[in-house]
Amino acid sequence: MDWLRKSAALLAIAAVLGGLSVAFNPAARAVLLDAPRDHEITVAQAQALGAAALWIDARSRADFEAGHVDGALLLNEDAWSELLIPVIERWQPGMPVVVYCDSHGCQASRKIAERLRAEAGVDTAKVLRGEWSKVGAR
Amino acid sequence: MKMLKPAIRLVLTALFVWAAVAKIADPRAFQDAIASYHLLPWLPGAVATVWLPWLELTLAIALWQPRFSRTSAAMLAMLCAVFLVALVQAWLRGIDITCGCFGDSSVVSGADYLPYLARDAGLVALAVVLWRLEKNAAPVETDAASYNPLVH
Repeated sequence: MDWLRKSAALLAIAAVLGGLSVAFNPAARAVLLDAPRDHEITVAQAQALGAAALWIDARSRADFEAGHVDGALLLNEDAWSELLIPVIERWQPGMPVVVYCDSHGCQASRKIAERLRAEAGVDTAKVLRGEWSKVGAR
Repeated sequence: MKMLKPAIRLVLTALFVWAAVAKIADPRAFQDAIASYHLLPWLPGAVATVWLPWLELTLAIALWQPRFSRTSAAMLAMLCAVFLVALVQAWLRGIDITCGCFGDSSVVSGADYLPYLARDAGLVALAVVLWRLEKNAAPVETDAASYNPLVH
């Protein structure tokens, strides 16, 4: 059973180090506290915007066609230039923009929101924090 | 053959220290990567985000500590096998993921999975080979704590 003791010791050392990182590293602590990040918007906040917000679906065309937030426009990296045109036509300065993808952890919405802010001047672009299906699908 | 064991140990250490440091440096990105696999609920995912990189680092360093090297090699093999299973299930389910393996945030989908699967399978094999070599080379363990010079 020596291997079991050694395995437990290694697992415990890692757990202690992880605990110390939570104690001393704010970024690690934010993971456990699920703290909001910059340019994020919760489902409740997004719903409160109502029709004033422009919704952007950052998933694939197939996923978009299978169901999306009512009134959302498709914009993904596969066809960025082509899909950006209707977004820019619809957006007006100051209009809130909510970008979403599959789930809380998907990266596509972050990337699209980042590109909208950096490349298209859509400085109001935020990432939806939570499931888009809770907003109202079509 | 004499150099095989230290060479594998060096490769595994370098890779796992790299992987651990990248994850420790940006825990939110690693949390997103874990979530993209659609495997764990939020809390276990958050705990894994904080704990896994330190486990990788601990195991990588423990490879060089004779008392722990064999156990560490076995645990690294199991860890890589778990990563491999996570990749395979995501691939089979057709999910687009962020690997999160070495701090890389690029999206993995479709045929992109193959190099990741090959790399993980290679890491499992390397760790198993090291475990076998450590087993064959393991000296009769002398337990310093139980050694009584008066008896000898």
